[in-house]
Amino acid sequence: MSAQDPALVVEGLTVRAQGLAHPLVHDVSFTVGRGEIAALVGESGCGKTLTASGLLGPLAAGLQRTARVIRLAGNEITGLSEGALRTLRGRALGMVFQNPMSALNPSLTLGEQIGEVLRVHTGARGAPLEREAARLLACVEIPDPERALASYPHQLSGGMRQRALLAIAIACAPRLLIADEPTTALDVLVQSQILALIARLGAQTGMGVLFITHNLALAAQYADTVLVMYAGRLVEAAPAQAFFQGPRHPYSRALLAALPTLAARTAHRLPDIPGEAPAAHAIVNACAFAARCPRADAVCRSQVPPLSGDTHRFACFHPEESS
Amino acid sequence: MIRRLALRLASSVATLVVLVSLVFFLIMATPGGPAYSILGAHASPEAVAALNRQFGLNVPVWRQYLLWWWHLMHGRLGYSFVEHAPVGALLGSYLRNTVLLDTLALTLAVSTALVIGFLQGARPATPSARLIGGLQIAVYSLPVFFVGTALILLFAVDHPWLPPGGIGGAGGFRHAGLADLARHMVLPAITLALPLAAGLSRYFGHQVRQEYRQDYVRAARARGIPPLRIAVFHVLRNAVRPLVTVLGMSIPQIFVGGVLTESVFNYPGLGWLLWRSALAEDYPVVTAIVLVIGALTILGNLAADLLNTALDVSVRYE
Ligand SMILES: Nc1ncnc2c1ncn2[C@@H]1O[C@H](COP(=O)(O)OP(=O)(O)OP(=O)(O)O)[C@@H](O)[C@H]1O
Ligand code: SF4
Ligand SMILES: [Mg+2]
Repeated sequence: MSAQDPALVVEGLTVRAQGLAHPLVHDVSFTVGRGEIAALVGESGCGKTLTASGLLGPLAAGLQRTARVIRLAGNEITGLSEGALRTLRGRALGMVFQNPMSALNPSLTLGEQIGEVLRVHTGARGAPLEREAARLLACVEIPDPERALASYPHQLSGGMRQRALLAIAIACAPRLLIADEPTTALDVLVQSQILALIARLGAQTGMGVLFITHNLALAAQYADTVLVMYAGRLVEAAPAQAFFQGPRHPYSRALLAALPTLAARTAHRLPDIPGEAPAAHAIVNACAFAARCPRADAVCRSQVPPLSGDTHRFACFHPEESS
Repeated sequence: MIRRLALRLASSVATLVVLVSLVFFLIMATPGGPAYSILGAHASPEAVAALNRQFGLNVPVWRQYLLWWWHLMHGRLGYSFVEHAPVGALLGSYLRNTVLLDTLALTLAVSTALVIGFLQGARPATPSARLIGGLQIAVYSLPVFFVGTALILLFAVDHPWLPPGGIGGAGGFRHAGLADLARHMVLPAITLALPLAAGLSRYFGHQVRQEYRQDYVRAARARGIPPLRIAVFHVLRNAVRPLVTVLGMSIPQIFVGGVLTESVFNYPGLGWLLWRSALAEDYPVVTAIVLVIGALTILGNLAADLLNTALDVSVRYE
């Protein structure tokens, strides 16, 4: 592991469900640099959460992951045992979930829950543990950390709870933070405060962030890289600036066109595009977007477009012009 | 907190007052008046008249009602003409036997329910969990008479390992040493505990299963908390809490089951005494037992509620 290693390198990540012939997540490859925020966007059900939980698990029963490469800060983790993976969860990789109301145990104090992850992964005990927990709460800008440590989740607002979850996620200084729609349940102002906080923490510590979201405006504001998924595959991956200036995949173009202005801050979900996304496992030999794509032709309906390109990658036979 | 405690206490006291008054008015409403409920349904008119004079039963109802409270507060529960003894003195040892048996049965039932419910709830989709589910329904619906008799036949008659009933020792309810008492309590305690264990374990299993589905469990797994720690510190802890309430609510079930069990095993407890006194039309004893069981139920519910308040720090999953 060197200081130059990206926070995360994924190649050929595939997630299958028992009984389904075709994978739910298909051959996904991307990189998250140190201190970078990669936004993963796509319609509901396209496989964003499965992609994230396919990295280190744990996956729900009946799901199976394969990958050529998964490197966390330079360390290869494909082929590690479940026990070895567990010691990395919460330590090398932190997770923040969509719903801050339910991701905390309602009957334990914040102190107990932050303390638990520190104790399990670092073996800290007693007074140093408490000091560390208070320091973490201060890091995520929770006022009066001492008092917050003794509070139960229901005594805190949604925003404070999400901060607390963030504190738990970064407790062991992970190399990568996965934030799965971390702000969907919060109001607009708090959303952008949380994102700003995540961005600051990433910049300070070099932690990479995989930010799963439906909110393109937040992605435009904070992401360094944009990853677009459609029906289980990555269909476009590009530096944020290039992406927002000239998306190449017709699906990305449609997403952006449907967005009134990039500053529209209300979007809890992606803009509507006519038609419906097929299930990932239903597509065999065609572009999954063909049924909704104005540019689709016979070629699109007979083979899967490969994801190609150098820094700006996209999977389309007839891409939009670059601008 | 203090307010909630005071409210809960007040409502328990109110329930108790209602219970005591209800029993009083039921006695007053017995055909022929309270004398019959003291002397029994076949008392002669002369005896009734004598009793009415002796106990001042010809004074106005409201004075009798106050008198009734006065006696109760001094532990005077009436006089049994069948046993020729004051009821209060009579109840003591029976009450002790019942408390012993019920505590043992409750401990058995709760510990079984915790273990079985957890195994069932942690792995709900396995064949063994389904088997347990079926057994719970079967055991829950078995009548006490059947279970009790079967246990006696199996373990006291066919294989005479345990006494078939009673409590040993002399005089019916004085036991001969703790070891002997324990031997006498095994079969009735199991009989009483079985349906309770079936119901509680099913409920607890469901609770454990629910907890395992919560987001916070998924989150804890995602942060690498070991499975055993998740089971004990998160799931069990949260699943046990509602069990306390259910336990409070099953207290009447324990007493009803107790009457049947004690009768089947000739175990000299309150239930057995109630059954026998009812047959003998010894109404003062029946009345007193109803009062005691009622009061114990109210107390049990209060205890469960207080325990729950102490455990319950938050409104869950709002
Ligand atoms: N355990 C599972 N077994 C079978 N199919 C599953 C399982 N979990 C998820 N799926 C399916 O995989 C697909 C991708 O699910 P995923 O949760 O990754 O979507 P998502 O992009 O995160 O959607 P959302 O934006 O709604 O969170 C969905 O169609 C879902 O139904
Ligand atoms: S490959 Fe064809 S159908 Fe698919 S997005 Fe490109 S143009 Fe549309
Ligand atoms: Mg998701």
